[in-house]
Amino acid sequence: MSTLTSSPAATTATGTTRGLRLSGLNWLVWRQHRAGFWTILAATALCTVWIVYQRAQMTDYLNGIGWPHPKDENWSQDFHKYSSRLTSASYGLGLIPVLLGVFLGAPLLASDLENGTAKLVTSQSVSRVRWLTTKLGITALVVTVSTVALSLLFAWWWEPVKKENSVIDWTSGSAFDVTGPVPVALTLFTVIGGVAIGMLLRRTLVAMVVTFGFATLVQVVWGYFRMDLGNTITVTTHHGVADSSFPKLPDAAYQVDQWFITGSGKLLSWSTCADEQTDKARQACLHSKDVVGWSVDYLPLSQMSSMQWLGAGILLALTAGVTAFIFVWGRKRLV
Amino acid sequence: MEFRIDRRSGVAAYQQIVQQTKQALRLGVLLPGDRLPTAKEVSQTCAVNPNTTLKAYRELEREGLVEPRPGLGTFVRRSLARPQAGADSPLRTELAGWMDRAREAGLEREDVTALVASVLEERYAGSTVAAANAEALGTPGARSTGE
Amino acid sequence: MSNGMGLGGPAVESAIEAHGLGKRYRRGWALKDCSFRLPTGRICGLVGPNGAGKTTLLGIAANLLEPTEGTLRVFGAAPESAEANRRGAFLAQEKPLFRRFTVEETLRMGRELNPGWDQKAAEDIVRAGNVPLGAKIGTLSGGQRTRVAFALAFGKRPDLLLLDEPMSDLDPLVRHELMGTLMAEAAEHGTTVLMSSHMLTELENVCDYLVVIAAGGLRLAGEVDELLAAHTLLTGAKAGEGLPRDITRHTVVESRVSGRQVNALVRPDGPIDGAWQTDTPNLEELLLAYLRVPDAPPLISPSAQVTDRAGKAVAA
Repeated sequence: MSTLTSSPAATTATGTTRGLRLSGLNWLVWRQHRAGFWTILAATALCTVWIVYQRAQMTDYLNGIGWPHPKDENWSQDFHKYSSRLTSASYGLGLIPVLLGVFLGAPLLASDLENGTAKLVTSQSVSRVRWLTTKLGITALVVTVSTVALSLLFAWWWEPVKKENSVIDWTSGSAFDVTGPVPVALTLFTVIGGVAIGMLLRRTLVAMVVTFGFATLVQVVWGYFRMDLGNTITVTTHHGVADSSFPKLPDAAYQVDQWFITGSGKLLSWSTCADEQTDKARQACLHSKDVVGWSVDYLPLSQMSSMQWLGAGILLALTAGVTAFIFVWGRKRLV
Repeated sequence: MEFRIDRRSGVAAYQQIVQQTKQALRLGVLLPGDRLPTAKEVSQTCAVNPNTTLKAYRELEREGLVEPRPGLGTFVRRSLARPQAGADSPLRTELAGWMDRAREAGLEREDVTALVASVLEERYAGSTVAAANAEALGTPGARSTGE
Repeated sequence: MSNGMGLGGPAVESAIEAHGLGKRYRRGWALKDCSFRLPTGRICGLVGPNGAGKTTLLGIAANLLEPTEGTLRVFGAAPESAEANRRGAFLAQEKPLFRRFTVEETLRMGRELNPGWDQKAAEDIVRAGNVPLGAKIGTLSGGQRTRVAFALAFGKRPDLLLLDEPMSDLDPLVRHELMGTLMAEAAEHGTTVLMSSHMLTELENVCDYLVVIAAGGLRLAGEVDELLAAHTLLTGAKAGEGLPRDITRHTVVESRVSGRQVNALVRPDGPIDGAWQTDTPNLEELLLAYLRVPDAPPLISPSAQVTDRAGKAVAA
C-alpha cells in the first residue's frame, strides 16, 4: 500500500502488490506478530470444528428424547454429559479476554519499547501514527474475527437449550459473556487496555502481570454490574402470599427481587411475619399489616440481547477512549 | 596502488597520501597514464574521509603530477622516476659499493643512517629539508589570527 | 574570536540547524542553549563525555525526542515532518533489530517502509561481511548485526545519517571495515554524517567537521582544519609566579605547569611573543583539552554559526 508512492528513481526492487500479498506496514506488523496471530486463528478454527461436532452430538440426543417436550422426566440426568461440555466450553471462552489481554495486548507495544524496535520502525519513512494505526488495526481485526466467530458458534450450540435455566442460566457469565457482542467488546477492551499498560510500563513481563490484574478486575466489575444493564419488570398479585399464589414468570426469567405488597401499594420484605410460631398467627400478622399479594421484579430472557448490546456499547466506548489515549500519548513518546 | 594511513605518525592523512603517491612515482610503481584509486576506494580500504583523498589529489594536481579527468578519475601525468636513480644506474652502483665498504669497516645500520642523514643535511641544506618542514607544519594560510 | 574568516552568510545548505536548543529531563538539563549548523556533505564528529547530551541531540534530530526549548531543523524541515523523516536515517547505539526476522526480511522491511530504498546497496553491505541472507538476526554476532543495521540505514539512501556510537561494540577489524564502508558510501552519495563517538582516534582522518558538547553546552563547532588552525600548543619555561603574560593575553583553553615548564593550548589573539615553541595540536590533543576543561570558552567557526531572524550571527 505505501510502496507505490515511491519516487521512480533508485527503486530497484520495490515490492509490488500482487493478489493478497501484504506490503508496507501491514506486512511488517503481520510478520512481527504472525506467531501470535496464527495461533489465535488456528485455535479459533479448532474450536469451530469441535463445537460443530459437539453440537451435532447434543442435537442427536435431544432429538432422541423428543426435545423440546422430553418424553422421559429424567432426561436431565442423561443430558448432563452434554450440558457439562457446554458449560466447560463457556468457562473456557470466558477466559479469552484475559488470555488475549495478557499475551497479545500487553506485549504489543511493550516489547517494541523494551527492545528498541520502536526506534527502528520510526526511523524508517513512516510516521508513528501510521505505525500505531496499523498495529492496533490488525490486532483488533484478528481479535474481532476470532471472537465474533466463537460468539456465534457458542450461541448456535447453546440455542436449543437456551430456555432451560438448569443447563446455563442466561444471566450468568457463562452465557451472557460468551454470546452476542459481549465477548468481542470485552476482549477488545481488555486487549487495548493491555496495550496501553504495556505502552506506559515499557517492560513486557511487568506489563503482562499488570494486565492480568487489570483483566481480572474488568471481569469482576463487569460481573457485578452486568444485571444492572436491564430494565427490571415488576409483576404484582393480589391473591394473598401463599406459595401457590406466587406469580408465574416467563421461561428463563431472572428474578431480581420479591416483596409483599400491601393494600396501599407499600412494599414489605418477604420475611415479614416469618417469625410467627404458627401459621394462624402468621396469617393474622400479615392481615394486620394489610399484605395483599406479591410484587416481583424480574428480567425476562427477551432482554438479554438488548442488555448485551448496551453493555458492549459501553465497553466499546471505553475501548475507543483508551485507543484515543494511546494515540495522544504514543504520538510523541513512543520510542 | 593502495595507500597505508598510519594514524599514529602525527602526519596528516592527506600528506601521507601525497607522500606515498610521490614515492610510488619515484619508484616507478605509478607510471604516466595510470589511474589513482578513487576517493571512494581509498575511503573503503583506509577508512578515511573522502575529502582527505580529494585534498591530497588537489595538492598533487597543483604540483602538476596528476590530472583529474571528469567522470573517469585522477590520472598520473608525469613520473618522478629518474633514470639517474634507477636500479642499474652508476650512482646506485657507487652507493652500493660505498655501503659494502662501510659494512666491512664495522659500521652498524644506525651508524650508516646517521652518516647518510648528516651528509644529506649538509649537501641539500636549504632546499629539500626546508620544503619538507614547511609541508609538515601545514599550510598556515587558513589560520585565524587576524585581529 | 575567529573574525575575519566569515564572508557573509552560509552559502551551503544546512543539513542541521539548531537554534537555542535545550532539553530538560526530570534530573536536569541534558542540553542547553545549543546553536550551530552543520553544512551538507560533511562528516561530522559529535564528541563529548558520557552524559554530555550527545544522544539527546541525535534523538532530537531523529525525532525521537522533543526539545524543551529552541528548535532544530533537518534540511530546513522540522524533525517530525515527513520530509525530514524521509531524508534522514538514524542508527541507535544499541542497533535494535527484530531478532526473529531473517536478514532478508530485515532488508525487506527497509524496502517496504522506505520509498527511495536501494536494495542493491543494502545487499552489498550485507554480502561484504559474508552475512548469510537467510540467517535469523538473533543468531548473528554483534559485528554482523551492526552490519545489517548499517545496511538498513544505507539502503534508505538518506541525505543525513545520524549515528550514535556506531562502532562502540565492535572488534578493530570490523570497525575498520565498517568505517571504510561508511566513508565509501558517503563519498559516493555525498551523504552528510553526524556521528557521536568517544573514541577520539577513530574520528581522526574520518571527520572533517566537529561538534563538541560538554556538560550540556556547545564547546566547539566547525571545520576540523579551521578549529585546529585556530589553536596553538605553546611549550616553554616560565619566569615568575602564575602564567606568563605572553600566554594570558591569548584565550587560554588549558594550561599545565610542571616545574619550570609550561604547556598551554591557546587560541592566539595576535602574534605569539616570547621564546615559545609553537605547534599545531592534532585532533586528539584539541579534543582532550576541551573535554578536560568543560568551562573553556566555546569556539564556533563561521561555517557553523547560525543567524538569528535579524540576520546577525549568533555566537555562543
